[in-house]
Amino acid sequence: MISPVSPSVDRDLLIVAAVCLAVVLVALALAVLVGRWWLRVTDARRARLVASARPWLVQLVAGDDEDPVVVERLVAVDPRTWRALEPVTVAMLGKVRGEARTAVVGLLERRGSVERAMRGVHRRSAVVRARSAHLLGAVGGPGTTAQLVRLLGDRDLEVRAVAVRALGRLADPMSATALVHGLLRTPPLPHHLVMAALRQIGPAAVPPLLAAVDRADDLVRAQVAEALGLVGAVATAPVLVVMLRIDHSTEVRLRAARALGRIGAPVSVDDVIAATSAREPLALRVTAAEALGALGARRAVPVLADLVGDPVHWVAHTAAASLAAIRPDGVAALTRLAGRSGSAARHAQEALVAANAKRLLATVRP
Amino acid sequence: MTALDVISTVIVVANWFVLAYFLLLNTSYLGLILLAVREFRRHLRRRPYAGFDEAYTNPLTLGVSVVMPAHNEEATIVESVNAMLALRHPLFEVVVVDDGSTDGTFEVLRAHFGLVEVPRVVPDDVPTRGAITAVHAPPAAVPLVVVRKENGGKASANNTGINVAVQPLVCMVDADSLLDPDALLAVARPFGDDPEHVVATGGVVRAVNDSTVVAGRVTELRMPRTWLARTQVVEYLRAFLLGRSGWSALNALVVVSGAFGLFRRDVLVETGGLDVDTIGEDAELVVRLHRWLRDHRRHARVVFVPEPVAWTEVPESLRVLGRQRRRWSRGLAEVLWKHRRMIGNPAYGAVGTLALPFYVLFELLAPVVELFGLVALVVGLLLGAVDWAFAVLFFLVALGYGVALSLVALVVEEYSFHRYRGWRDLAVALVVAVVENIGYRQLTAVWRLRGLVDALRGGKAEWGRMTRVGFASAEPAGGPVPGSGPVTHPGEVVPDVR
Repeated sequence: MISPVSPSVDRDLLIVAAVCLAVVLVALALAVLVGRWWLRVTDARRARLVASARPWLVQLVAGDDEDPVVVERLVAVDPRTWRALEPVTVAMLGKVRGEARTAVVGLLERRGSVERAMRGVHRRSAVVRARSAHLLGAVGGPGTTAQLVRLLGDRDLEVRAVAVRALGRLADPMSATALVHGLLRTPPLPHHLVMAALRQIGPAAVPPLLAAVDRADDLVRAQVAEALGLVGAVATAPVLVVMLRIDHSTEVRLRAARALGRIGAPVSVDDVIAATSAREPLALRVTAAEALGALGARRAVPVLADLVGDPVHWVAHTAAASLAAIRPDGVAALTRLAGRSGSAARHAQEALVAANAKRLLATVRP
Repeated sequence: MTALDVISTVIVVANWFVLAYFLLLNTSYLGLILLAVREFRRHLRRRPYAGFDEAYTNPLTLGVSVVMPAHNEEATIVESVNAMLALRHPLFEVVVVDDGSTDGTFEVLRAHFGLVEVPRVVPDDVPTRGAITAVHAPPAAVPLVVVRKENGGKASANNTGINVAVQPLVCMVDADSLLDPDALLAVARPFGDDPEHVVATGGVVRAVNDSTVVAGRVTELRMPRTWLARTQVVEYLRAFLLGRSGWSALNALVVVSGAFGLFRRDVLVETGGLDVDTIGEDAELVVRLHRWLRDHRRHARVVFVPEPVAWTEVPESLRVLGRQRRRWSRGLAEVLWKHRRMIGNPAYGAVGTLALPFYVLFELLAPVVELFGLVALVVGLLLGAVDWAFAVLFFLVALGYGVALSLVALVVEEYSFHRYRGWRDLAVALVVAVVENIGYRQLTAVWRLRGLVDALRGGKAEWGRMTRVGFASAEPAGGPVPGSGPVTHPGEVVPDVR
């Protein structure tokens, strides 16, 4: 045995360390237990408060006529109960229509929720701003669009996203220009949300979109093309055809082809057919082949039938699927191909089987 | 100075080194947990207006192909597929890849879904091992494809699924996983929020042992009955949920669990899919993604989504768990060796400068240091070279900090997702937070060390596999399934040399 050479640890230090550690561990264990207790208590209290007023709320949305007694009861519930009930009420807004919706909006207005939301969009807290935007999008009303448009420039991405969704729900044509500008700004708004909102707004979104088709940024032009397709404005097909023909960006041409397929404009068939040429980029060829199926033009059938024999898998696969969508000529061409041998036959067989399954799916999906 | 003095000095220095290492290791974890707390706070606050309903109706929401590789999963496959088919998403398909099962995996699927063979041309976009023998689909309106192929391993089965997938996003899930109903919408959401940059997202994996499952849904979550599984519940919580959330906040997430990960199909194809020769194929894929993206100067993100959850059975026997941890450790070593050029390399951003060095120092080498420290302490005490007070301090710091870390994880869970609602579950979790640091941790260190040795020795990789006996269902989904029923026996390892 040798004498210890390790730095001798002071006994007092050891005791202090042990006590500190014990205190920390106990504190953490207590935090877990207190957290559980607190959550249970608050959940139970919230459930109790909601349960006390929910029957009136259900009565309000279920009643054929607005029952003034029910409304007055809900207007008169104490602030604590309303705080618990308000999220339930707001959630109900998305599930009801017509008179029931009007009744719920009226209740929210009388309880001051809408007014609070109008003030809330100016608050420092991003959570409050987002929550307020969400409520304003659900209730609508005078001045709401302007407040939400202002939030498109919010410093917080989440708030901006909620504002876009809210504007989409309102589908107010007044917001179209601001939403299109949202695609152009840096950093931009979430594109897919903006495009979904523009789709909900509909034809009123077309003028600001057309004003942005010649922006220098490839991505912006691509999104504009996509949005035009989603809006479904047939009159914009010539613009999209030009984009498909001459734009230097493959992404823009690809989205223009997809948009033309969505719109279903017969004027574009020849240009979409041209985009399937072997000289074109692969992604564009695949998208154009898909668009031809959506367009459903009979004169695309021979082109698609040729493409089913393309050596590139995804071109052949997409062309076969598109043929299956063109009835009856496309299906007839597929049937002829399926009877032959080689990869074209296998693609044709697959497409015929998939088309049957797809038809079945369409009958059960909403 | 005698030789004994020199040995003693070395032992003492080693002990101080190990002590400092433990402090640094646990402090790193604490830092990751704090980052995770910030992420959770943001996630929970946005939950009321997350916009899942809009995502469901948005025509631009990207379609998802859910790929489920299955090898001898007869007991749970029907319930798992039913659960996948019931997920909320506007456009998705389920691709089951039966990787040469020798049990009734395919037969139960065929009987339940009325599968028929269909013609299918499958591209070879990513490499696979083992030829496809047939492709089946139900004649009814169900978006399901079942691919039968020769046994080629999990990575190869996943690659086959990628080839078969027709949607732009590919979700890889284990055949024994159950997903929460909104799980697909949630993990796909970052792709919509930031479509130009997000290339992959990872979801949380939690233990489902002994919880009640009805129609493929976890309806009542309980702590497992065995202490081994209970320990893994806390371990998964600390290391997977909190650790990965922390890395995601640093844009340095390098592990997306193979049990629940979503990838852009085009990027998977460009990078060659999963490596069929690596054990830790899920981690290898993500590290390779980071490497490829940086090498091609593409700014991209891999995002971790803390909720909803994929539920999976965790091993309930030491033998199975030991094999699993050996495999993980060997896989990690192989991934780090393969991508050693990235370690500490600023060209790879936070992945190169933070995540990979962390994995080398605190994951790969942790069992070496931990066991070395234990041995050094014991030898030091036996030789009388180490002061007993130092030994106690060492023990307190190593054990106490570990317990504190687990308790912090429980606190975070309690104030954020609080999935386990019962007081008994909470009491069990508190006990586990302490006992996992005594015995379990050291045991896993031994297994991980063996995995590291396996990696150093090389040789053929041996796959361990749990034999599933089914979820603890209140009732079977869609009629009786052979072998389904409550989990009553721990899984057994069936060596599956691939």
